[in-house]
Amino acid sequence: MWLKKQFGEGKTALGQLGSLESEVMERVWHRGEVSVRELHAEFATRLAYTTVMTTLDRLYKKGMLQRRKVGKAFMYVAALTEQEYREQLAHHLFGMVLHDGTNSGAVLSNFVDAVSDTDERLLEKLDQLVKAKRQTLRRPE
Amino acid sequence: MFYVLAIALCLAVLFLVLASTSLLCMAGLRLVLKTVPLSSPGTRANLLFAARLLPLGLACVITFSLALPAFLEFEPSSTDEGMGFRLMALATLGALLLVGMVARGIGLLRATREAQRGWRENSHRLQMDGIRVPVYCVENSPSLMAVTGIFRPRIFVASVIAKTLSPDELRAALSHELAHVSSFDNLKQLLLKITRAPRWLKALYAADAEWTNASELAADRDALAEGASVLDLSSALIKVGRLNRPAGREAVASHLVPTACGSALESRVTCLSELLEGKSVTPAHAAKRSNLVLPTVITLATYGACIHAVLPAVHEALEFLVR
Repeated sequence: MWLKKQFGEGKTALGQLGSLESEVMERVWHRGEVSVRELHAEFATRLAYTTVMTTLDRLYKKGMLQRRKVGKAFMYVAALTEQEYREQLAHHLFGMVLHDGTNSGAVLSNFVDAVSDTDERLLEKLDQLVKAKRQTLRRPE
Repeated sequence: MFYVLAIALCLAVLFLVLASTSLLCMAGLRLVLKTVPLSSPGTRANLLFAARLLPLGLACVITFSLALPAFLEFEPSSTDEGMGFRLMALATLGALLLVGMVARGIGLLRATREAQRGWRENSHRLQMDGIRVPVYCVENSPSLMAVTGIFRPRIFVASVIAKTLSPDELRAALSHELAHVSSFDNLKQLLLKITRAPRWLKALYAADAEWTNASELAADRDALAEGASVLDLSSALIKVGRLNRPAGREAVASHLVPTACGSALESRVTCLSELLEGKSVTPAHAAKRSNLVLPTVITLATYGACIHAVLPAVHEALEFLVR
């Protein structure tokens, strides 16, 4: 919920994966594109078909998987590579530490916190201004 | 029983005043948030801080300068008056509130000390002429540049930042951190965090973010007023900002960083851009210390003169709680 509030619905729900969801994600990363039937075959001894189907559907709704319809069935594929997921998770935790007082604990004043896409574009513009200004100052009268 | 009653009464009054003034302050803060963008960032930060701390301040003043003296003055010490349900419930809520704030405060101070200790273990002291706060260069902490500590502030700079910034840029960035020290921003931050409002009290919650924004802008302006160059401060901001976005991470995760983040980068970049473009002028140095002696003396004198006239009425009001 925290993430949904922070980053909005529809974005990847980092840190919200349960143990079964994590296991399913690992198998999807390992296999590439996979159907419910194929995945259920791997879990057959301990999970019902509907459990696998529901879990995949939940991961799709969380933005962790993409799917396409092939005949009557859905084929699922990971929306992010495992590496990307780990990086996003690390960045998310980094953001939590920086932005949420209840998590960070320490009282400190940072010179710069985490930088968003918008900030990056603003910094780029500022950089151009700084360069132009320095050039003007260097130019002889 | 007399002292138990006194403590219960104090807790109940504290809770009542804090809760009611917090709700009143929400309306006031909405007004402040709408009107103060016209004033300077420093004034805005101070106004927001005062408005946020007003409920706690009023609660403490009313409890300890009115309610407690009234109880001690008029309640017989041999009272066998019991504690009613109303008083007990309010006192319990007051105690929970107080314990919560104290626990949060201890947690924050401990976390700050731990962070400082961790950084100091991997750091060496930088000798910086003219910088009155100890500056430490920290290894293995890629994007750290912060001032921590409430009463004994220390500035920690990641070694990579110290190497990346030119001496003038580093000095400009340190001036920004020193401005936080001069404004007691960490102490203010501690008090705001201790009294942090739940998210559903939107005006109070938004005031904290707005305060952070204003205090960061004010620190930039103070650094410039103290002689830092706009170019150096801008360059430092750009370089440290980019160090906060390691190349491997930015492509996949940057959209997840909230736009309105703690260092108020957007407002700061806008402000610096305006200065570079000549749309606004570099702030002039101004004496910050306001003389609080006279207002304090007047307040205390008024309190001393009026207290005996007010206490009977306060005691009457307290009877409502006790019965």
